[in-house]
Amino acid sequence: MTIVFYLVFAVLLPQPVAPGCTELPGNNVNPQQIGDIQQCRIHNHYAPFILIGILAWNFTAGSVLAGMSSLLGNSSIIKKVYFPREVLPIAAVLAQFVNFLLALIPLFVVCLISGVIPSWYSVILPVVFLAHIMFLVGLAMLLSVTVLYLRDLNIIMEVVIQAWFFLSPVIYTMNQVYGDGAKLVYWLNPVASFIEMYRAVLFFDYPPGLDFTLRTIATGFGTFVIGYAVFIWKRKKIGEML
Amino acid sequence: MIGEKQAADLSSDRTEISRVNPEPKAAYAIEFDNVSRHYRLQHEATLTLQDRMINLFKRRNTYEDFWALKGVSFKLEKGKALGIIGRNGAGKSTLLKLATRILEPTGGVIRVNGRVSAMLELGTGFHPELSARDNIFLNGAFYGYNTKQMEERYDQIVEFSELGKFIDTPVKHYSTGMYMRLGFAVAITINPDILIVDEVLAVGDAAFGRKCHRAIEELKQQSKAMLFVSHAAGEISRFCDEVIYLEKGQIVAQGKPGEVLDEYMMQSLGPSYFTSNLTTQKESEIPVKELASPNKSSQTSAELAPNKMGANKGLISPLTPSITGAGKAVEPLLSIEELMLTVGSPKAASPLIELNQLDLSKYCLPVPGVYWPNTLWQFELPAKPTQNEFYLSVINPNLTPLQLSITGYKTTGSQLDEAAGALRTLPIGTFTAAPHHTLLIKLEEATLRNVHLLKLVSSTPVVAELVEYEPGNKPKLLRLENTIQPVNVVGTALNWFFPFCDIRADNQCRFRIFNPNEVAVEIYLTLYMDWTNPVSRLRTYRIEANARLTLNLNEELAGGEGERHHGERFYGGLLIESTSPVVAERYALQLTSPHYNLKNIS
Repeated sequence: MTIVFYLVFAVLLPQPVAPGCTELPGNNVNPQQIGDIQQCRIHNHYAPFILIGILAWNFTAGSVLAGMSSLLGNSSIIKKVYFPREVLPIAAVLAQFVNFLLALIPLFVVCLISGVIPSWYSVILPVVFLAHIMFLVGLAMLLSVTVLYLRDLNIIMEVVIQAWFFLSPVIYTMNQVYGDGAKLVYWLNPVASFIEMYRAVLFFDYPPGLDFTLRTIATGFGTFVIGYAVFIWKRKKIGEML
Repeated sequence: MIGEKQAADLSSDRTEISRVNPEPKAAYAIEFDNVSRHYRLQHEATLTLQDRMINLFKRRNTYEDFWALKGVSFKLEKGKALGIIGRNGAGKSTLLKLATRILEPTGGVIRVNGRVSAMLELGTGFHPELSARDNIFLNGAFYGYNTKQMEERYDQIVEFSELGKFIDTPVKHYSTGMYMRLGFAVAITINPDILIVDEVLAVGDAAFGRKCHRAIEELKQQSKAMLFVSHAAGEISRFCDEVIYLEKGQIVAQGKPGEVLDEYMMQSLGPSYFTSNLTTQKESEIPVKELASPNKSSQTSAELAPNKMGANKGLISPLTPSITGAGKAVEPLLSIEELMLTVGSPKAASPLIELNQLDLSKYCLPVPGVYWPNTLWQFELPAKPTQNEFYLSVINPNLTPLQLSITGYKTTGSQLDEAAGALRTLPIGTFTAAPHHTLLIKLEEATLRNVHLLKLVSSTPVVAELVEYEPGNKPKLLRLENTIQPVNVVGTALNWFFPFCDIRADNQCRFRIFNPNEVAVEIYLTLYMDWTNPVSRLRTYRIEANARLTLNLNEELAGGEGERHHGERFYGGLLIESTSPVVAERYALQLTSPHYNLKNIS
C-alpha cells in the first residue's frame, strides 16, 4: 500500500519542490516558509510520512467497522450468556489497537532507514493513544447500538469510510489541501487531529502545541462520553433487538 | 468473532459480573416479583434506514402488543429446584432469559443472588477454530473466571467430558455429541450458585445422560438452586421440588411436580388422547360398579368387607366389555380395591401375615394372571455379587398411607451360623408411601452384599416389583421380578388383568404373551384408564401357535402429535383377553412414577 502511494504521489505526481530545499526551520520563518519546509521533508522522506497516516487511518477505520458489528456479530453469545455488553465494542477496538501497536514496529524501522528520528515530543504518544482509543470506543458504542436499529448502516458506513479516507489527511497534510480552512476541518473531522498529532510528533519534529493537544484529547473523551451515554440508554434493548 | 485477546479482556471484567449480587446473604436465590415482559410484534420489519425512509411517506407502521410474561411471581429458595413447564411459546425461555439478565423485564422486579450458570444452549460462545482447551478458558471468562481459576477446574472438565485425546482438536471438527459434552462439562464445573437449564439434558448417549443427571443431583445436594425447563416429565419429577405451569405468559398452576404435571398433560393432550374408541365406548359403559357391589350404598369400596365380596368370587367377566347392556346410571369411578376384588379371590386380601414367616406359599393363593397386592413380598437376589443396580418399585393402591419395611437375609459365612443353617437378618429400611403413590427404592450395593433374600413387609397390601438394571454404556433392564411366588408365569389363563400400568416419560411398559396352544389365538387389549373409563378391545393381535408376542405399550399407545415420549399419559389397568389360554408376563421398568392422585381425576 505504501509503495502504491509512494509511486502515485512521490513519483508520478510530485509536488513542486525547490531543488536543494531545506528541512530545517530557521529562526524566523513565515507560514509560507513552514509550508515549503514541510513539503521538502515529505518529499525526502515519503515512506514514513505516508506510513504514519495509513497506520493511523487503518486503526481508525478498522475499529469503526469492527466496533460497529461487535454486537451484531456476537449475537449468538449475547442472546445466551449475560456479561456486560460494553465489553464487546471495547474489545473490538482494543484488538485493532494491538494490531496498530504491532504495526508501529515496522514503522520505526522504515523511519530509521529513511533517516527520520521521532522527536522527543513522542513522550506524549501514550496520551494520544488513549485519547484515540476513547474516541474510537465512543464511536464503536454509538454505531454498534445504532446498527441494531438501522441494519443497512453497515453498507452506508462502507461508503462513509471511503469518503472519510479522502477527507482525512492520510495521503496529504492539512496545509497542502485545506490551507486556511484547516481549522474548520479539524472541528468537523476529529480523525484529522489525531493523524496530524501523530505526524507532528513522529515525523515533523514540531511541538504539537498545548492548545491543539488538549483539544484533541477533549475530542476523544467527549466522543467516548456521548457514545457511552447512548450505549447505556439503549443497553436494555440490546438483547431484544438482536 | 471472539479471540483470545478478547478472552483476556473479558476475564478482567470479573468484578463487573459479581456486581450482579448486591446482597450476598439472602434467603432466595431467585425472586420474581410481578414480572412482566412486553414485546412489540412488528408486522413489517423496519430495521433498515431504507425502510424507515419509505415508511415516512406511507401510513404508520402497524404493530401489535404481545406480553410474553404477565405478572409472574415466584421465589426459588437455595437448595431447591424449580421446574417450568408449558407449551411452546408459553414464555418459558423468556422467563429464563430474564433470570439470566439477557433480557430486562418491562415491569416488576427480579432479584438474583449468586453466580448464575445458564445452559440455555450448550456450547455457547465456543470458537470453532480454537481447541477444546482454549475454549474451556474462553468459556470460563464468560462466567468471570480468570486463567488461573480455570486451570484449577480444567482437569475436572476434561475428565467429565471424556474427550481425552481430542482435547487439542479444534472444536469445529467435533461431533455434536462431543460439543455438547464439552459445553455441559464447562457449565456444570464452574460451580454456579444457580443453575439454569433449558432443555439440554438430552445430551450425549445414555451413559453421559446419566452422568449429567448425577452431576445435577450432586449440585442440588450442595444446596445450589436450579431453574429447570424441560418437556420430559421424568426429568421434572426427578429433579424438581416445585413446578410452575406457564400458559400464555401466566402461571396457571404451581405446586408439587406430580400434580402440576398431571394438570399440564391433561391440558395439552386432552381426553382425545386415547383414540376415538374411548368416546364411543362411553355410552355402553360396563356396569362394573353394579356387579362389583350390588349394594349401591356401599360406595367406599375400600371398606367393603371381604365376605361381601365373596359373592363376586372369580368374576372376571364383568370387566370384559362383552357384557354390556345393563349399564345405566353407572358411577364413573371405580376404585382399585373394587377392581381388584372383582378380579381375584377375596382370600388374597389377607390379614397381616406373621412377620417372621418366610415361606408364603401357604398363605397366598396363586391367582394366575393377576398381580395381587400383598403385605408380604419376597425376592431372591443373585448369590454372586454383581455391578447391577437393584430397585424395588412399590405401589400403594390403598386410600391410606402405609408403612413398609425391608429386611435382607444374609449368610455370614461363620461356621457357627452355617452349622445352625441360619440366616442373619439385616434391616434395610422403613419407608412411607402416600395413598396411590409409587415408591422407587434403590438398593445400595453396600447393603446388598451377601444378601440373597429380601423381604418386604407393609402395613397394608402393596404391589412390589424387583428391578435389576445393568448400568454402563448401554443400561438395560435385566429382569423385573414380580412378586412373591407364582403369580404371573405359572399357568395359563384366558384373561389377564394387570391393574398397575404406568406409562410415563421414563417408564417402560411391556408385555410378553406366549401362546402354548397348537392353534393361533386372538388377543384383545382393553385399557382401564385411571382405573375407570374402559377402552374395550382397543387393539387386536394374532399369535400363531407356539409363538410369542411382545407388546410395547409405550408405542402401542403413542398418540398426541409431536410428543417426544410416546404414551406419556396412561396409567391404569390393562386387560389382556385371549381366545385360548395363554401365558402373559409383564416385563417393564418403572423408574419414575410421578405422584398422582386418583381423587383429583374424576
